[in-house]
Amino acid sequence: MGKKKRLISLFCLLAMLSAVFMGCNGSKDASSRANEKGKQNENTGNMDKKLKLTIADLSEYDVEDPMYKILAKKFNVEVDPVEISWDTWEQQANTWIAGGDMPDALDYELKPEKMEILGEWADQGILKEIPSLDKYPNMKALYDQIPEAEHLKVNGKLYAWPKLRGDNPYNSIDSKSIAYRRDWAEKVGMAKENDEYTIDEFLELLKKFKDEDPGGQGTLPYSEVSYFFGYIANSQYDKLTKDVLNYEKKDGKFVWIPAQPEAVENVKFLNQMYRDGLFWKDFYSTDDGTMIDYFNAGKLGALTNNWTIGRINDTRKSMIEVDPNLDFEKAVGIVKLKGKDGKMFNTEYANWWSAMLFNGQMEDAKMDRLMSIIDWMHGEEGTRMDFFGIEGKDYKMQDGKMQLLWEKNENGDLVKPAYKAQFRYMGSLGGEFNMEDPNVPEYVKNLYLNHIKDQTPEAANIRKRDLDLVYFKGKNMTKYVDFAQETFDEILQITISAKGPEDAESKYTKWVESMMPRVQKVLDELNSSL
Amino acid sequence: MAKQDMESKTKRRSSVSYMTKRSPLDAVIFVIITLGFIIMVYPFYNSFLISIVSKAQYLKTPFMLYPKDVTWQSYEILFRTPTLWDGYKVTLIVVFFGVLYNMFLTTTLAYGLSRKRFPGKGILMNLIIVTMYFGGGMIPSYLLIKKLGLMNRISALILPTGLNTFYMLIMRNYFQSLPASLEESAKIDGARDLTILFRIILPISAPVISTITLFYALDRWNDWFGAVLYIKDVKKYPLQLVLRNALSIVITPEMDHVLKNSIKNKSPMGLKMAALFLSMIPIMCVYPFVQKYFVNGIMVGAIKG
Repeated sequence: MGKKKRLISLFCLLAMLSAVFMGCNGSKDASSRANEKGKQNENTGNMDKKLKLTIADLSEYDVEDPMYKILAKKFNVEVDPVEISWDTWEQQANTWIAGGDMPDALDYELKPEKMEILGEWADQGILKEIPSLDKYPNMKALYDQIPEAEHLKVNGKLYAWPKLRGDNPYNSIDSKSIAYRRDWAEKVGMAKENDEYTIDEFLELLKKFKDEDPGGQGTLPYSEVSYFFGYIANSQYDKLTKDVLNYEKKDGKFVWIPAQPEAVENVKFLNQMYRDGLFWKDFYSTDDGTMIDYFNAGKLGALTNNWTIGRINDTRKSMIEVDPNLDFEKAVGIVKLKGKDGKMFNTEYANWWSAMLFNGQMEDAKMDRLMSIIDWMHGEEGTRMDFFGIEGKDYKMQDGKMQLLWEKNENGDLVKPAYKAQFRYMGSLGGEFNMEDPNVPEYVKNLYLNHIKDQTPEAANIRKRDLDLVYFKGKNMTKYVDFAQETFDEILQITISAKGPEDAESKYTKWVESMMPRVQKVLDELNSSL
Repeated sequence: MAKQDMESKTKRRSSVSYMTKRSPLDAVIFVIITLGFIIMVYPFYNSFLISIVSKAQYLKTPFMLYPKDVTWQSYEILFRTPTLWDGYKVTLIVVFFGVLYNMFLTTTLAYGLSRKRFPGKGILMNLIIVTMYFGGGMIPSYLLIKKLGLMNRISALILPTGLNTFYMLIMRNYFQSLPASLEESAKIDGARDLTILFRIILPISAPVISTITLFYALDRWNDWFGAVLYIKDVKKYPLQLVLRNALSIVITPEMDHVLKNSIKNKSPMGLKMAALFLSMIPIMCVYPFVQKYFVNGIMVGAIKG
């Protein structure tokens, strides 16, 4: 009986394993996909034939929407929108692609570390090559504005269309900065002209916020949204940021920045700030939305966030909603924080974000139609339509000038018509609208622009984006990248728990030592490429 | 007789005096229980207040005792979400048919496995228990649903999750605890296995049936992830996914222009709380009707002799 049971168990085990191996056999499908080529369609270039397009991105489409009807008729298309959920975006995209259910156009959160998988998809024929841009001049103009676009090619071909952010018309500086209550700074006698503070002056200001409670609601001095945690420490040494790879060359070899002595000083600085009560003590357990709400409600003295024009304007509206008597122009400023060397600090950022991928099985005619739509939407007429609405209904042109016909809300603000036909989003993020938005007061635009413009190479240490490093392809680099999340999790833990500078240094140093075996694999890979 | 009356009166008096006798310890217990009650109920109450006050009021005083500036705007926005009513409809369909399907599979399997001896019982049990620890994964599941032709259909939300092994084991254990004489007496009377299950076992298993039914109903009501993968038509999204999408806070500034007028950018603490109540209230309305079955007794005497 025992022998019989064992035989039956062995049989079941073999049956299960066989099922697993059979399920893994997808190579036939993949190779047949790679061999297939899209049919050349004689109708490429004209729009006589109505095409159905499945588009999956974070924007919205509604077939009953008036703008959708206009554009669908113009391009002779019918859009079958596929909704992407922000929280499950990657899972949806990966599942659809792996399952052979990729929509015609799919918005994908492409990052440099995902280039390897993009290459695999391209090799397997899952993605369609983007054709020559000679026929699409507006798309070419967009492409030329993205220095990194060449790095997104696979074997010299472009498979992912990067979306230009468009929010910074001057340089490639990140808009990560500290917004603060200028009016409270005046109250406590520490207002500075042009919002320029050295780090010591700023810490003194935060102390006064904490001790003197200028807000009258138990002022919390300072906080940082989760993604930018550690920003203020770069006033010590510009060493720790999440959005630029944490490797640099030192004496001709790559080193891991978190292991450098300057990074230890930054960790000690953060811990000291927290123990002095200059950081909101619950910041680490508060979600970003609540943190922003606290700033808007006049409870937080200063907040590090990505202060784009749109973000500043939303804050303005929220703050006025809470306190209708608030003079925002006087109340809020962007700190020009100078580090130990007297210079501001910032990072160079990628001026694109996310990318559109196109289904490799798609006909050339569909691809051409999609390209035509994106191209037209980035021309003068398409841009005007996306930004301002339908001509004749939402605006009119008179002697070459535009006159807005938007309605006003109870606060007197113009209300942008909300259309659900965001074709333009397939090509770019439309950040340049912030400069054109009639609801954004000039002083808000100037607040942002002055901060960005002042960060010249003479006045600021700008951490450059080393594209060779960012797009370095290596097995270990792809696997580990730069351990940024683990680094910042550990720094956060030490910030809130270390009992003093020695304790912070000891804990951090031990942690760095524990990380080095894995970090060294990436460093060896990088240094062998030199 | 008089003596008996006296005795019963004395007993009643002493029991009454026992009940009304208080000590300082009772006061302490009362205070602790009251504090515990407030700690448990207040967040719920505050969440409701947040859902009915303006954003400005919430930002000024996130913890309230009473609302000063009532607005139903959050509920209005959610009720105007085009797909909300579709979401309710789909969820009700999934719950109704899903629970029937789940209970059929669970009761029949649990009953079968509760019988003492049959060939292959051990192996079958092991194979079933393995599924509690290991699954096929997201992509194989997706491929399976696709091959079965269930993509973009409501049945994709019902059929794949036919049985919860843990619930089935609970039910099996309950069936095993029933006296074997019930089955034996029925068999003597000529009843078959299915007749025994549906006519004898299930009627006296009301507590476990209602408990497992409620568990399945809650699981079905709260489920959203299957729809994220298998459903592309927003009109077929279940309620939880509709609400989740409506509230998915997009903090990144990259989406500022794209979602400028979308509900997703409405800074939604009030919306979050309103969504919480919209999804909670229907299930809370059902629960009191099911609760009594947990409390009521079990066996009606069916054993003779």
